[in-house]
Amino acid sequence: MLTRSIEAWRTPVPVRVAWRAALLRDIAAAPHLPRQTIVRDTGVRRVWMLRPATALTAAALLLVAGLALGALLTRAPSDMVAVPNATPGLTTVRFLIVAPAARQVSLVGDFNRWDVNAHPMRRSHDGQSWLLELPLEAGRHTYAFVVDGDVVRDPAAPSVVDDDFGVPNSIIFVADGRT
Amino acid sequence: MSPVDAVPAFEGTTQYMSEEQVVNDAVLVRRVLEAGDGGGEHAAAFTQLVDRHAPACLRFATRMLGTREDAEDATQETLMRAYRALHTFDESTPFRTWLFSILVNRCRTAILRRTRRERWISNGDHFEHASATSSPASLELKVELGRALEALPSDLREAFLLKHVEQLEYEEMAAITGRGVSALKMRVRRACARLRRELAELNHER
Repeated sequence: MLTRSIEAWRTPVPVRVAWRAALLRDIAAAPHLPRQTIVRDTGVRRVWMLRPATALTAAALLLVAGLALGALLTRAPSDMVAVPNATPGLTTVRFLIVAPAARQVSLVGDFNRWDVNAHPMRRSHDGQSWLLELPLEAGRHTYAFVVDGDVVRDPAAPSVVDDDFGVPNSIIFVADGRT
Repeated sequence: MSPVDAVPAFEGTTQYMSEEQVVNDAVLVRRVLEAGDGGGEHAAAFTQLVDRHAPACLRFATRMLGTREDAEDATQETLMRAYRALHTFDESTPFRTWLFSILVNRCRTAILRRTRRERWISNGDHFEHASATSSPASLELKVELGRALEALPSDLREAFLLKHVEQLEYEEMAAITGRGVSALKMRVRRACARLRRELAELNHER
């Protein structure tokens, strides 16, 4: 019975013409993709094209980001600490999340291509939290925690709207050796 | 031009691909990203990716979420997000794995947001299109099968669908779901055991 049921569940679900057309219309209307030049031997280089409208938008976003960073600095979230780092140009950031019941926690973000295996976190001595210290380049980074397979944002950090993995991502600004 | 692979793209139309047209996903991704801004070239390349992967995405989402409407929403969101994040795609990973990792998370989010379980199969609509020649009796059976699937907890259903409906290997499932292989095997085993019980009860009632 289960085998026959599986065969039934494997039956293709036809793609509706109207649905497909609407999807392709949305894609055609979507903002232009960043250009990417693929270099097979040395990896991927990104070539960004900045249009005047995009530059203006970016300037406005930077202004807002600067104001937000100022607010962040006064708040000084306790679970993100800049640790003195010997590598020039990088600031080591300590990430922490309280998850005493978790069995496995990792950090994902734009700095590790959202790879769940790249940065596993270690449990704190008291067993209540999970920690990771990671050198990051100055700038804006989005990240999230993966707690036993579930993607969760940092409850103590600002979040952003673009959520590639179904939940809002957390955001961190790293600037000049301190966050 | 000889048809190498028949790809049913959408209702009423069958699309054939010649040997020259059969290119791997990574090549299509590169075409999308290397095409000029605003041209139809990148949209055409991504259209091929859509037609190649949308059916599997739609099937998984339909079995996972229960209604065509929810499945189409989740699949559309997945493909849009994949398009916007295409520049982050790593060619060392199969495109399907990457795409399904987005889809699985979209389905998980949809389930979390769902407030009414009765949105699941009300009239078996997601099975109606499966076979134009289905008899009422077989349609009713398919609705019952859907209910058996619904009875599974979402984590077991997810693992079961990836393994037995999408026929993925455990390593790929692990990459998609972020779970370990052992945990996935356990979930599939538990899902099969529960489904056998549910289906045995249904069979007994009939």
